[in-house]
Amino acid sequence: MDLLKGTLDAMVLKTLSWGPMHGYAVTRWIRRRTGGTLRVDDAALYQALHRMERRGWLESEWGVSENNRRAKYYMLTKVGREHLAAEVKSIRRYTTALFKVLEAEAA
Amino acid sequence: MALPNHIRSAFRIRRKVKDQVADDVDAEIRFHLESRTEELMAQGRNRREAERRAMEEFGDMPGAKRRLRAESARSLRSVRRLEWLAELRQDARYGVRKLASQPVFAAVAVLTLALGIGANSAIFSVVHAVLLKPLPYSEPDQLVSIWEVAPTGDNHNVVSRGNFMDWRDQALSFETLGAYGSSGGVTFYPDNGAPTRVRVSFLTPGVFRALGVSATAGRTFTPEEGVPGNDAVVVLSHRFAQNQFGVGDVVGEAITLDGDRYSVVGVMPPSFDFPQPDVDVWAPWALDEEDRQNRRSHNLMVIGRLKPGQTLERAQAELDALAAGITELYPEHMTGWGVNVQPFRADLVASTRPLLLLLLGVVGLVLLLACANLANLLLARAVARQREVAIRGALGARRGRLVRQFLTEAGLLAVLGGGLGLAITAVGLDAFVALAPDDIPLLDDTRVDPVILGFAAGATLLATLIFGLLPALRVTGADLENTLRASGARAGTAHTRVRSGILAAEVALAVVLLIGAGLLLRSFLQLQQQDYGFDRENVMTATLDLPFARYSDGTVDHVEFYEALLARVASIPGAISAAGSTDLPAGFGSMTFSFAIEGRPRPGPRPREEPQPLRIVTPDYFHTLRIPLVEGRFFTPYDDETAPDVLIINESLARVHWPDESPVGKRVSFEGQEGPWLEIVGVVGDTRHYAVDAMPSPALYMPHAQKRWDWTSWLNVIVRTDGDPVALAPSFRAALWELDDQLVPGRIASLTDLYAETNARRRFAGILLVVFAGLALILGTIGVYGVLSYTVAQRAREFGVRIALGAPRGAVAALVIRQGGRLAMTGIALGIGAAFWLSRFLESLVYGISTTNVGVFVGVPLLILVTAGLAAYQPARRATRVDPVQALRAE
Repeated sequence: MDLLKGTLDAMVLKTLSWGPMHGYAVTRWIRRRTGGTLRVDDAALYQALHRMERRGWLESEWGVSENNRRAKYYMLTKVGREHLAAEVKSIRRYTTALFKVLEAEAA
Repeated sequence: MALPNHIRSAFRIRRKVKDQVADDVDAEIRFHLESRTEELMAQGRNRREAERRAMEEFGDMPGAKRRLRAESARSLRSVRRLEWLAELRQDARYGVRKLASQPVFAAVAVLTLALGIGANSAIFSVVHAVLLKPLPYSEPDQLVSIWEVAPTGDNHNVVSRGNFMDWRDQALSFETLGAYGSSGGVTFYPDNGAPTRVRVSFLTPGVFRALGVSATAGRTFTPEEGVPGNDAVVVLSHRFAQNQFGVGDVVGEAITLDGDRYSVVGVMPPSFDFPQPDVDVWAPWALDEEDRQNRRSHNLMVIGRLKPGQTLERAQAELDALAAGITELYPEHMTGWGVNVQPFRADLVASTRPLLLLLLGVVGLVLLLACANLANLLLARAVARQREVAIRGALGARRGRLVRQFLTEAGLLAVLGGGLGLAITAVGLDAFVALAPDDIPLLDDTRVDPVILGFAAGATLLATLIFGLLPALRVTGADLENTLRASGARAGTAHTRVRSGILAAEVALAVVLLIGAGLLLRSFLQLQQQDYGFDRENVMTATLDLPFARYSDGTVDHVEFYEALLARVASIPGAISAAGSTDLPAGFGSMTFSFAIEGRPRPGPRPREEPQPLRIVTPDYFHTLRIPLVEGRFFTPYDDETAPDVLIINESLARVHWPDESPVGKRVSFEGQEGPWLEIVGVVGDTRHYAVDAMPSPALYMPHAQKRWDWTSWLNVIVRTDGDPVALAPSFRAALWELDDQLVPGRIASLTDLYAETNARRRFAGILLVVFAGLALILGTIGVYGVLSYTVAQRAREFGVRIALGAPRGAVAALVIRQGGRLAMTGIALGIGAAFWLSRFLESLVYGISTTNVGVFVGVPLLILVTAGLAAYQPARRATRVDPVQALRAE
């Protein structure tokens, strides 16, 4: 299943809201949560990370991973947290409206 | 060398954005692929398959890398920009703290720079106004000045009316030719109120058209108004119109000048200041066919506008051809005469240009000196930080980053100094311009404008680079290993060499400036002491023109008028004697006349001798100025129109024409060999008539009572007084008004003041050079003192050892003094060499002595040596006081 526009950013931000993570951890986390239903290119995911870093939603820092390697850790900034909240709200509004139509009973 | 990142970041050592980003992106992706591969292998796949799968899941690898790099580069750059600003702020804060902790150093540095930048901006604003800024006329490059070339070789001779008219009517190279005379004073009679003197400029209508200017109200002159009979019209200056008529429309009004009525046809814009700024009224110089015959009196200045595409060379060639034709028609007057066409602007400022460029060079040297001094001061401070710098350098800190830190500090000083300097310029520019000689054209356009701001900013930037970069490069480029290994004290010796080099250059600059100042001062003394051929002290002069209309209708006899006036003036308490003359000493110059000598006919087309100045004077002239009689007699009141015509000549003229005999009793004629004859009755001493630096030159004198031409009716008044000459002015005016209360005297001034004005350029340049040379001496002294103090501090240990080993303290002091002496001597040698070459640029200002005057070239170095000795005294004394125990323990 392809992703709706804008939802990848929201998913990445949500993932990082649990705490700092490196890119690989983010991909693993999303893959597990969705059980593979959503097809996310790792490439697209990294691009989202870098794009959001430039916008100031994320910050990054090099650190050492659980398997003792140098890894780039991302964390949510205050702006990113606010953006996530707004994004969740607008996706919810969108899907609610959508389902009101799709699951409407005959009047 | 690859450094661990935490060390890099600890010392803020950076790499290129591009490399950094590529490495980071690769590392991130590599980490991802390896982690995924391991995870897949843990699920039981073999390595090959796991790697393939991880790659597949990743997707478009090359595209992703490209996009990730671009994205990160953008964020990294903006991060670095912020960091850069933060660093700058940090450096600046550090610099401010550093400066605040050394307020004396900071104040000296800022003031020195402010003076340097201020002086440069001020001189440059004059240079800009006079030499660079385009003239306020349309297409000013098309304007030319045209002069006649006299047989004497003078290529700026004023032009005869006939020649001007021929050029104007026949030359094809020009759109327009116009002519104007030197402007003069006339008396303006307002309809109500007291008469005043105003400055009027007479010009042909073509001048306005050549300049391409038009009136703000009304119009300028039509060609018809340039003909006698139609010329009772005037154009007013904006200032004069405002003062006399307020804001109302003055066009069509009539005004009275010297008793004649003129109708106002226009008012010029405030900016119009041709041919000089203080003109109140322009009136037509009317010419008719009678003027065309006049090839003898030269009194016009000519300005022309070249046709588009026409060149100066072709215009010159055309006028050369015309001149040749004119000479054929008028061989008696025009043989040997030529024409000289010059670009207008360059011609206007030709005599000022060298002076201004000289001054610009002088202030440039002062700024350089200020920079050298600051470089030395900053270098001393930089050396103290050398170990810190060396450590950072060893850890790979970019040299640029270190240099920047030094430059920020220097820039801080520069901005403060430059800002203060510009403020000084803005406040003091008017006073500075007032100090400048009045005869510099376009000087009134001097102001602080964006160009000046740009210049000041540029000068500040340049100064920063000069005095900031040198210490920075020197310190950051030092041999790391040696610095780290050497003790702090030894690390300084290499810098002492650099500092000594800078200092020698400083001393050399000071020598150059002082020699220049010395040459001008010597010239001044020379001028004060020289023999002028008469007594200039305690003489009052007044210019006085009688209004043409009221004094030319025959009702007033000029001779009687002046006799009566001078008799009254001579009887004023405080006056010793009074005389009249057609031209005042130190004035604009004299009318010259050619004359024939009885019994010496000249073959060839020109029947008379070279023209010589003729002064028409009253009998008391020589007595009043105390010009000595050499032979024969002075004029007496009996030399009037009923007596035989007589002349007096001066020694120079006697030497030219009667080298081996007495001229007394010889006769000359202003016409030709058929007379009428005038007899030479006396020979008087030579005078330096025209200016302080004029050589005594030939002159003829004629009694006023025997004047032969109408225009010679006007006399200026000269009064010898027994005290302050100008204090006589009120009594003089009263005496004048007793005779005619409608007369207004022109300028009243002492003779010494008039002469001082002819010396204005030399005085201006002299004052500036003396001031700047003094500044240079002070800066140089500070420099010597600074370097020697520094050396003593550096070598304290060595001195301590010497003293401990029994060296007499005097010998230690001698070491310091010798170092100072060596520095000064090197600087002096360089300076003398430079001054020897540069002093030629003072040629036009130095008077009476050679530009390589031995006294100055020996005296200045001696002065520098003495000053350097004084500067060395304190550090030398400190060297003898070094406590050996303490000095050794300090290590």
